[in-house]
Amino acid sequence: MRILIAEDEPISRRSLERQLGRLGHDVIAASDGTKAWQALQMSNFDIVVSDWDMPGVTGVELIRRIRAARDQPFVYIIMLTSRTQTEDLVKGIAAGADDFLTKPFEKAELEVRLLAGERLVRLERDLTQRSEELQAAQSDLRALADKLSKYLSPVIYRSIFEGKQDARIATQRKKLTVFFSDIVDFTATSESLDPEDLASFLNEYLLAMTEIVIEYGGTLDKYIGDAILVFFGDPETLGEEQDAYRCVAMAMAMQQRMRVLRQRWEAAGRRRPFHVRMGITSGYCNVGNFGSDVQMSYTIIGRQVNLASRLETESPPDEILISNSTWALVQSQVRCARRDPVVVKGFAEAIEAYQVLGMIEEQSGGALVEFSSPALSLRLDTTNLQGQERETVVRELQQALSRLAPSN
Amino acid sequence: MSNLVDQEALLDRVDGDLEFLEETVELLESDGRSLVEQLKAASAAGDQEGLVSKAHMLKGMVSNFCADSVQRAAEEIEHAARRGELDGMPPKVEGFIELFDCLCRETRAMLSGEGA
Repeated sequence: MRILIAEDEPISRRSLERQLGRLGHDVIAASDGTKAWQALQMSNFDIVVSDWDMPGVTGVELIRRIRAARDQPFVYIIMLTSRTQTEDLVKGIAAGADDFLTKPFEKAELEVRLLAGERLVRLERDLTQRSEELQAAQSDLRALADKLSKYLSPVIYRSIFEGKQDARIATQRKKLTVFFSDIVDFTATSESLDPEDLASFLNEYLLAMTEIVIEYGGTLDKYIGDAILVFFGDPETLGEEQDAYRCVAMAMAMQQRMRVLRQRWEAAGRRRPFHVRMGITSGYCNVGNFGSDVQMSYTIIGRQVNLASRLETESPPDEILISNSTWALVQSQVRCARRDPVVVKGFAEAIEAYQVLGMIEEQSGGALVEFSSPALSLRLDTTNLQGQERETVVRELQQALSRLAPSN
Repeated sequence: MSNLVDQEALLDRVDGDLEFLEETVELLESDGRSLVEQLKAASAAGDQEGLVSKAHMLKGMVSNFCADSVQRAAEEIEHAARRGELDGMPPKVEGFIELFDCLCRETRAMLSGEGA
């Protein structure tokens, strides 16, 4: 062990130095607390044997400094003192001392106390090493989990990692709101593009839509080519009405985002930019882990999925078609237009369908301004617009207006 | 005044290493003597803090020589000084100095083979 002695009294210091050397330790002796602290700054020690009363930096102060230096390896501290009063022992232990030895020290006692110190130092070092190994393993696991999480819906990933969900085959029946979207004429569009361009546009589209799914708290079930299946109400639910409302709001945000994307694509000279149809319905589904113990998928099955897909097919491009069951849940918040009933295989009667027109709060002319034309896509929500963000919006609008001035 | 030092215990303490014992006796005679002078000066000046610190250090120093009565004398001065009892200090200091001188002589005699 590497041992530092802090002792201002020369004979005790020399006796300790000699005795510790005879026991095979590597010993450095400092003639006061200040010099001991300097030695500790320059080199690592396993054990410090320190006197109590020293001029300048006292033994207690030296202990406090050692314990406060948290980035340093563990040091076992023995206070060497002629004091034996309880209050002094308490003060020393409170400061961080591990053991005491009364002066003049007994050789045998010194030896066994050092053995105890050595044992603790080794345990502490072992613990530190294991803790570092554990942190490294955790870091590797985190990186691996991060990679694997890309193959899961963020909501499902979070639910599994928070221990709310088990990775075992199990399903349950729940009332969900199901969303299905598809790119209009995707097959024809894909044939007109290079595979690389197609992949680039498709990924840009899917990324933009996925960001919105996450923002609205939907569970992204899967991508099916250019189609997206999302549901609300599992594993987290805010209640049937809120789930349905969040789903419709998400779809509207997606269509709004598509208008911006199309403008960008058109400005970049891309022909046949994507147009998207969307269908939404609410009802009971089976949700959970389907598959096998080897590989499983967290998904939904049931007639509602087929209905959402069918509504999407019936929806005009750039629009959102919702079933009667969803309309019943959102009608107080969403303005809709009734459409022709939709006939769906497996449903005895034709399904009443509604086309989403906008939020009811928008109709009051309050906080939301929305406008769309081939030349302009605008959605302004002034609800919480203030401060720096408000100034930025005003500046951007003014710059846009200046481009419409007659001279331009 | 004789037999202040438990010679057997002292020899055991230094593992019979007379060379080392001589090294410590030299430190006693030099550093120890200097501390005794400082103790005396502190006593003359009524310097309570000086008395406490010098007596404390001397107590630790002489404790290495297995001479309990010398250690107790230093301890008495330290405790009295801590309590602020400075009036009776000069005789206590003088008494300690006598013991200290005797300790130096006894340990030196041990080294020369006279005391054992």
